Amino acid sequence: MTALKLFPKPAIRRRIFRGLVLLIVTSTGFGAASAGEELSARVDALIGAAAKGEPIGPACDDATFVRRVYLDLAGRIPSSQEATTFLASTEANNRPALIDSLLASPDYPQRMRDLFHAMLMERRGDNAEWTKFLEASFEANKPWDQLVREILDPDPDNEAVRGAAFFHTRRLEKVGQQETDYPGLTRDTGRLFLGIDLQCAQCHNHLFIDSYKQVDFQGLFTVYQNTFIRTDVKFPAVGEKVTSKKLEFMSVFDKQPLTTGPRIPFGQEFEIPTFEKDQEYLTPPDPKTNFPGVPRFRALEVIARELPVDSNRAFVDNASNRLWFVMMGRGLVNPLDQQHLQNPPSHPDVLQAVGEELIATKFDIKSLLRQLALTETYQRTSVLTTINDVPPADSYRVANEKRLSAEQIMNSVFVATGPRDHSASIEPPPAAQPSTDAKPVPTADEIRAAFVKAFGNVPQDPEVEFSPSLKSSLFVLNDSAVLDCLTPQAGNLVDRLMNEPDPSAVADELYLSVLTRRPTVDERAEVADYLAKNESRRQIAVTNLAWALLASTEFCLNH
Amino acid sequence: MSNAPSEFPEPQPVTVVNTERQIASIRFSPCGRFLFAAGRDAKIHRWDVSPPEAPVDAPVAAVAQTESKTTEDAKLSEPVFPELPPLSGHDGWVSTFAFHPQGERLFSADSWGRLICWRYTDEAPAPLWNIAEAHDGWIRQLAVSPDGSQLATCGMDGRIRLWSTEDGSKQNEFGAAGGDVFSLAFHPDGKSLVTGDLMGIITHWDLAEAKPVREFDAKIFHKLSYIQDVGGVRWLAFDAEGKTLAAAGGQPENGGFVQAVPTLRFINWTDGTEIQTLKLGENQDGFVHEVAFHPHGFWIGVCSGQPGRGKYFLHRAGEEQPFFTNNKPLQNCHSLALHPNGARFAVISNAGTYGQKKSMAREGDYPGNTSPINLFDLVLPTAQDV
Amino acid sequence: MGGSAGAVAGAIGLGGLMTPALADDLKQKSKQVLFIWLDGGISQLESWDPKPNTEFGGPFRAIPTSVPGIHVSELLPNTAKQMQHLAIVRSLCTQDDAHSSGVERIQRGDPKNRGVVYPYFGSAVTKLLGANDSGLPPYVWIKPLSGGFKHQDAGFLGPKYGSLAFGDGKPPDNLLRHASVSDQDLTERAQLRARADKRYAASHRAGSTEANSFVFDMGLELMKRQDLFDASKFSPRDVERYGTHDLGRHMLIARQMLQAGVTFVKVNSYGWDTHGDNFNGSLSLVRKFDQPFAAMIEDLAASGMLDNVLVIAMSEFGRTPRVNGHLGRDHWPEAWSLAMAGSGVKRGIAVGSTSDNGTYVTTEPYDIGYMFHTWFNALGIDSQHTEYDNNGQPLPIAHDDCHPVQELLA
Repeated sequence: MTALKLFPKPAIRRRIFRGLVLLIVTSTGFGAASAGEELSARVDALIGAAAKGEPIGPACDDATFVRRVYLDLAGRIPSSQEATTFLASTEANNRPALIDSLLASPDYPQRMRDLFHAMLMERRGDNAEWTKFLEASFEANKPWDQLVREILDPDPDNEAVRGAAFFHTRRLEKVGQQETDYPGLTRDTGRLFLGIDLQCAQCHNHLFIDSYKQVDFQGLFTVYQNTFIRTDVKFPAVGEKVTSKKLEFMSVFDKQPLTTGPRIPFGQEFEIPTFEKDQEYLTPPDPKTNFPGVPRFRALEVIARELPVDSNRAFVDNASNRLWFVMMGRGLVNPLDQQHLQNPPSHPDVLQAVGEELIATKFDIKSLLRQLALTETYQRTSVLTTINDVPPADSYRVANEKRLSAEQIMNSVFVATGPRDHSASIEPPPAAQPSTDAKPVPTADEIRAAFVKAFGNVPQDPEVEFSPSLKSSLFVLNDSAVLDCLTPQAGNLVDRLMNEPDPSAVADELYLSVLTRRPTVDERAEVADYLAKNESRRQIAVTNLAWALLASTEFCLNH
Repeated sequence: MSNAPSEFPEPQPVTVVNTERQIASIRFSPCGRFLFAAGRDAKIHRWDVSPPEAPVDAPVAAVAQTESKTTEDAKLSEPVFPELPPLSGHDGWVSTFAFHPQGERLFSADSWGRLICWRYTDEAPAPLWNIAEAHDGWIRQLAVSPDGSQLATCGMDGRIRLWSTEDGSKQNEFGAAGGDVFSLAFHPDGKSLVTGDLMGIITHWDLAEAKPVREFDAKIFHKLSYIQDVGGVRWLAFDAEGKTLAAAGGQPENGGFVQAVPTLRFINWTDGTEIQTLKLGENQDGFVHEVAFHPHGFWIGVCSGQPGRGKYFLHRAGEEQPFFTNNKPLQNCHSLALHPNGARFAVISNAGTYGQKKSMAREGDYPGNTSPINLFDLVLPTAQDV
Repeated sequence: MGGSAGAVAGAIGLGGLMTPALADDLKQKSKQVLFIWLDGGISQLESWDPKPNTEFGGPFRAIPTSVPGIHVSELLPNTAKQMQHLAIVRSLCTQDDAHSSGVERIQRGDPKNRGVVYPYFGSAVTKLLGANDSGLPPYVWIKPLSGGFKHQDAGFLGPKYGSLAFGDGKPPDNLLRHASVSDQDLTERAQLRARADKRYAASHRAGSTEANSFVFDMGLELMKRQDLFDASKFSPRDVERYGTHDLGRHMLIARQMLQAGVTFVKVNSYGWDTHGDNFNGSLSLVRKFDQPFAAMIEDLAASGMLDNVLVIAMSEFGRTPRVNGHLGRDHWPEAWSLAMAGSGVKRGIAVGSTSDNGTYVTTEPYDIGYMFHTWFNALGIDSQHTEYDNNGQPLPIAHDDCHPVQELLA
C-alpha cells in the first residue's frame, strides 16, 4: 500500500486501489494472466494461426461439452440429473461456471489422483500411502514442481507425503531373478518429469537423437544406483548410500573411460563433497533397528532441488505438454517422452505460452487446466462433418477423441446405470446376487482391479491412444462387474426404464443417462421399435438397449 | 592336521601352457611324464612335463606370456614343457579320456561317438583298437575300472556301456535312449558304477548284476527353463576309500544365457544320506565342472560361469566353506588334473573373447579362442608338520 | 509368382490398398502364414548350416536329409526327414546384433526409415491379405506367459492390426457367455451395438469405431469357438508326436488355429540366447523345436494345407562361429539361416552358402528386406508394386532396395 502515499488525490487513490485489488485477486486466485491476454485466448489465436486458413470446426454443443468436461475434470460422465440441469441452464457463462464448480468439487482430486497414478506408475501396482499422497496433493492443489520434488526426494518423516516414495520403491523392487532395474528408474525419471527417453543413451550417445548423450543418462543413473528400498519401515521409503565417488562408464562403441558425478540431464555436474571419516552421515545407521542412516550429502536432495525448477526447460515443457495432453488428447510433443530436436512440438509457440503460464502461476495445475478448458480449442466439436474434412490430429481443427482410462470408464458405467442423481463418491452398485460361500460379493477394490485389468494397458505401457482390446470387449460382454450394474435395483437406470411406459421417454432417459445427450429421431424410433417387439420381456429389452449403448464406441471415448 | 581356511598356503603358480585351440579335459599320465589334453580340434594334445626343469638361462619367450595372471612371479625359473605331436583319429571334439591304471594305454572318446585305445608311450601312437560308433553321438564321459579290465562310457544317447580294455569288445549296456548321461565313476572297489544324468538323477549300478540298485535325488542340478533342460550332474567322483561320493554341477536359475549357482553335493555312499550340499558362488558363477580327490583328504574342484567367472577351490567334505579358493582371477575353468606326485595340479582356464565384434573374417582375421593350462604346485604339510 | 500389377489405390474406402480384383483373387486362395519365432538366436551351426569337423563347427555331426546333398545338424533328425518340403536360406546377413532393437527390425522388415513405425510381418499380412472368412482374429500369437492384445505390432497401420496373444495358448478371460444373457440377447445386443457404432462413425474418424467394433466382433466370434482352446480335443497320437513340452503344445494349438482359418499364426519360443553352454543348450532346445516343427510340416503337407500356408522359422540373428570362454556362442547377424516352406516357396532346396568356417556369406547376402519381398510374393502379393497408404503417404511394403529372391519362389 506504500504506492498510495504517492498519490494524494482520493479519486486517483480509489482507482489505484481498485486496480491493486484486481491485481491481487487475479494473481492469487485462478488465472494469473501474463501481460494482457489470458492464456486461453493466446492459445486459440496461435492454434488458429497455425491452421493457415484450413477450416476449423465450431464449438461443440452443450451435451458434448458437459460430458467432456465432467470426464476430464471429475473423471466420470454427469448423472442424468446433472446433465439435465446443465442443459436446461440459459446463463451466458454456464460453461466457465461448470468448469469452476468441477474444479472445486471433491471429484476433481479423485480424478487427478487416478490420472497421475496411471501416468506415473503405468500400472505397476497400487499402494495406499501413494494414493493418499496423490489425493491429498490434488485436494490442496499442490503445485506441480512441489509434487515432483516430493516424489524425487520423498520425506519419510512427513506422513502426508511419504507415500510419494512408492514411485521410486516400486521400481527398485526386484522382479524374479533380474537385477534391480536402476536403468529403468533412471529412464522413467527422464520420461515422466523431463519428457525425454534416454534409454538408448545408457550405453552410448544416442544413435539418432543428437541431443541425448550418454552422460545425460549416466549422470542421473549414478544417483539412482545408490538408492535402495528401506526395510526398517512399513511404508514405502528410499534410502541412500554415501556417495563417495564418481560413476565410471564408457561407450560400448569407443570404449573411452569417462566419469560423472550426479547431474540432471543436459545440466551441469554436481560436486561430490568429501567428508572426514565418520562424518559422512548426518544421522548414522543403526544396525539394531536396521535404520540405514542419512548421509550428509544426498544426491536425491540435489536432484529434487535442481530438476523441477522453472529454469529447467525440459521440466517446464514436459509439464506443459502432459497437461495439454490431458485436456486436448494429444501432446504438442508426441510421443510424450520424446522431445528432442528431431521431434519438435507441433506448435512450439503454444508450448512456450503454456510453459510461461505455468511459470507465472508457479506451476498451478488447477489454474492451467482451467485456462485450457476455457479455450475454444478445448471446446471445439470433434464432429468431422462440420468441416467435411479429416484434419490431422495435431492440428486441433476439430477436437481429438480421447481415450478414457479404466477408472473413467468404471465410474461412468456406475453413473450411467445408477440412480438419476448418482454423482459424488463413486461406488459400485449393491451386489446383484446375495453373497454365497462359493461366490462372495466382490469388494470395491476388486471391482476396480477388474476394470483396470480389462481396460488398462500392460504394466509399463503408457496409456495414450484408444486401444480397445479383446480383453475389454469380453469384459463388457460377459463380466459380472458390468452386467451386475444392469440388474434392476430401486431407482437405477434399468429400474427407471422398465417402469416408464412411454417409449419416447424411455429413449430420452436412456440416452441422457448413458450418452449424456438427447436421442435423434432415428434413435428414438429404434428404441420404440425394439420395445414394441419385446413387450412381453420389457426388462430384458431395456437391459439390452442399455448394454448396447454402454458397449458403443461413443460411450467408451471422450469425444 | 587341518589348517584354518585362511592359513592354507597358496598354491604356487608354476607356468601356463598355451594351446592353439580350446581343450575340454586334461590329465597327467600315471607315470607323471606327460600332460594330455582332449582338444576341441579332434586331436589329443600332449606335453612332456617331466622334470628336470629347464636350465636357468632358457629363453623366457618359449613360455607363454599372454593371458595368465598367475605367472607374474618367478618367470626366469618357469619350466618349458615341449609339446609333442598330437594324436589324430577323432572327429568333432575329443570329449573325454582316461589312462589305464597300470600306464601305457590311453582310452579316448569324442563327440561323434568314437572310442579309441592308444599306447600313449609310443612316439607316434596308432590306435590299438578303434570303434567308430561306440555311441550314437557325443560320448560325455569315460572311466577305467580300478583293476583296469573294463572301460565305461556314457553320453547323449542315454546309454551306459562297458567295454573290455583289452580289445574294445562290448561287455554290457545299461540306460535307455532318450536320456542324456553326463557323468560316471567306478567305485574304488570295482563292483559298482555310478552315473549322473541331465535330469538330476544319480544311479548306482551293480556291475555283477548289471542293474540299478539305488537312485539318488540330485534334482537340484536340473531346471526346466521354458523348453530347455538346463544343468545336469556334470561330474561324479569318489574319495580314495569310496566312502564319499561327490556330485558336481550347478543349480540352474535359467537357460539361454545360463545362470546357475555352482553346487557340490557329498553323499555318504554307505547309507546314501547327504553329507553336504555346498553352494560356491552366485548365479553368475555357473557350474562346478570337475572335482578330484587328493590323497591328503581334500577335494580340488573347478568352476566356470558367465564371462570371466571361474576359480578353483580346495575343500574338505563337511566343512562349511572351502579352505582355499584361488583369488587370482582365472576365467572359466572347465577341467583339472592332479599329478601323481600329489603336489602339482593343472587347471584349464578358457580365455574367452566375446565373439560378437564386427568381423574381419573376410580378411582372414577371425581367431578362435584357446584354453591356457595353468599349472600350480600345492604347498603341502610334510610328515613332520602333521 | 510375381502376380499381376497391383496398382496403388489411394482411396481410404479400400483400406488404402490394391485393386478390388486382386484383393478378391487373394481371398479366394485363402493364404495363411505360420511364423515360428525362436527368440534369442538359434545357432545356425547347430541347426541349418552345420560345419562338422571345422574350427568352429562344435561337437555335433551333420546328417543327410531326405534331399540328397542337403545336410543339417544331427539335432534336427525329424526335420531332416521333411526336407523335401523345406527351403533353407543360409545366406542371411543383417544389421543388428542386439536383441531389443534386432527383434523389432527383423520382424518389421527393417525398411528404409520414412518416419513411421512399420508393422510386424503378421500385421502387414493381416492388412494386405484382408479379412478371412473365419471371423476369427486374423493375427494370433501363441506364446508362453501372458497374453493380451499387442497393438504395437501394427505400427502405423493402426491398433486394429495388432496381434492377439494367447498366453500359453489359453483362452482369454470372460470367454464364456454370462449366465444372465441368453444366446438371443447376445445377438440382439450385438446388433444394437453395431447400429450405435455405425451412427457414431458417420460423423467421426473411422478408426475408433473400426477398432472397437473389431474387438467386439472378434469377442463374439471367439465365444462361439471355445473348442479352439480345448486341449482335450487333440488325439493322444498328435500329443505324442508334437511333444508335451510348451513348444509342442503351442504348435498343436497353432495347427488348430490354422485349420480354423486364422490368417497369421505366430508361435514364440524363448530362451535361445545361448551365450553360455551353447552346445548342451542347443542339444536340448533344437531337438525340442525339431519334434513339433517336423510334425507340423508333415501334417500340413499331408492335408494339402502346405500349398496355401507359408511357414517360416527364424530368430533375430544367428550365433558366432567363435566359441567363447564359457562354451557359448554370441550374436552373429553376419551369416545366419532360416527355414521356410509352403505357399509359393520352392521345395527341397538350400539357398546360399557360408564360408568353410561359417564366418561370412560367400554367395549373395540377404538382408531381411529380401525375405519380406520373397514372403509377400510367395503369398501372391507383388511386393515391388504394392504400397500402403498411410493417410495419404504412400509407403513401400518392403525395403525398396531389396527384391524377391527368385531362387526361393516356386
